[in-house]
Amino acid sequence: MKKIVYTTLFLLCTNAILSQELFSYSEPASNVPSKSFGVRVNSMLMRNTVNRFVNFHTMPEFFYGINKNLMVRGQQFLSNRTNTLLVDGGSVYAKYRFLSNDEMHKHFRMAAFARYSYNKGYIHQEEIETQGFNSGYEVGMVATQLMHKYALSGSISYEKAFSNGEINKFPTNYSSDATNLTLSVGKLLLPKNYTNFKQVNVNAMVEVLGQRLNSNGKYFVDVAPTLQFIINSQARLDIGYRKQIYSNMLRKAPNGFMFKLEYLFLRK
Amino acid sequence: MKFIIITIAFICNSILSNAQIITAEISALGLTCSMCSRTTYSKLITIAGVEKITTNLNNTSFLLHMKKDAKVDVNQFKDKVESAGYTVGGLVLSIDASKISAINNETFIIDNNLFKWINTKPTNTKGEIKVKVLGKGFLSTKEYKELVKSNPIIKQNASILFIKPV
Repeated sequence: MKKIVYTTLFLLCTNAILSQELFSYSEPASNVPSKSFGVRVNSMLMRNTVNRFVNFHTMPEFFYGINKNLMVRGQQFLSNRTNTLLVDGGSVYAKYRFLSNDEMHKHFRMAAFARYSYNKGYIHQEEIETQGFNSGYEVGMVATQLMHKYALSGSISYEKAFSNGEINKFPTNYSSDATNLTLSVGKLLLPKNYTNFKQVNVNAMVEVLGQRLNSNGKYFVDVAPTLQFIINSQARLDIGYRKQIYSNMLRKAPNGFMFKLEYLFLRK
Repeated sequence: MKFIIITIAFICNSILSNAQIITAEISALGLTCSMCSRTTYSKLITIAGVEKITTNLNNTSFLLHMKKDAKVDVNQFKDKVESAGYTVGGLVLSIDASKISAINNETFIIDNNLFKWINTKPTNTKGEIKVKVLGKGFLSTKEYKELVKSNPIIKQNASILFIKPV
């Protein structure tokens, strides 16, 4: 694991032309182009620390740019928690970009976002994750700075969990809300020079993801290096690995791989 | 005052019925990847009258070649880049200016776009001339703020496309 992190950090420190900010585990402040839509499938293979099985979660989603500042997303959650792939729930998400300061090969953007999720799966960990595990909502802000070779992004959010339906009540001894912090850095590795839209772009990024449970102060910190391939300037494949660095809360499957496939349909 | 400008402009227009925008070079800001450039390209290619676009992906500029006799709405260049999520940092138009005189404060119309020369020394405009559009949405925020300090008229008359030769 250390090797992966060091290799990624080394790649981030080598020279290339421009950076990109299509972060994988967190969202950048940039938006979907107006009137364009896309599809994405985000899949995770996480090792369960209790039974050593591999938990498989997959989240197909659809996103749409209402205008240049506002995008919406619908997402479905599926998992193999019952040994067959079943739908656990879904979510709706919106992001509004309220600040945009563009310069040549450089920009600073800020956005506010909100997600509301429904999930019927059983609650088996203290970690709160409304993307695929908990019913609840998340509201937050994200700021992204692009500086020629580097993209830097940070976000803060408040996340609140409810009971997962009528059957799976939220445990009374768990904290039902949390504060999340993310810090992401990315860099474009290839191509060295842009000549056409068909060139495959390769990006490397490292993201630090943290959560603090508001009621009891328990927290975790994860690091997630990712390699990203952009094909034909329209399709995207991310391969990432998330690794827990520290945690004093109950988490069932904190470590594992993530695969993300995305296709953007450009509308006129 | 506005009435006088428009009246003068219409008189000029009758003289300049053959004047045409030949190319538009858009320098886009905030683009950071080929995905961003492709999005911007896909928006710009839909502008009525665009024949083809030559793209420089390294400096994120787009050279739009307009069809002969195409009617061009200059504000579309700005609107389309913005709808892709980015901003215009510079717009240079190449105009068939055989019948245009570059005289400071003079106005003229091409395809319903009202142009006005500003900060312009008398220039011989035989044939094709390149002009830079000065106005909100056509310059970087920083450049625009500095410009309106010394030229408040640009801010006061947002519907006029102020230009100067380059």
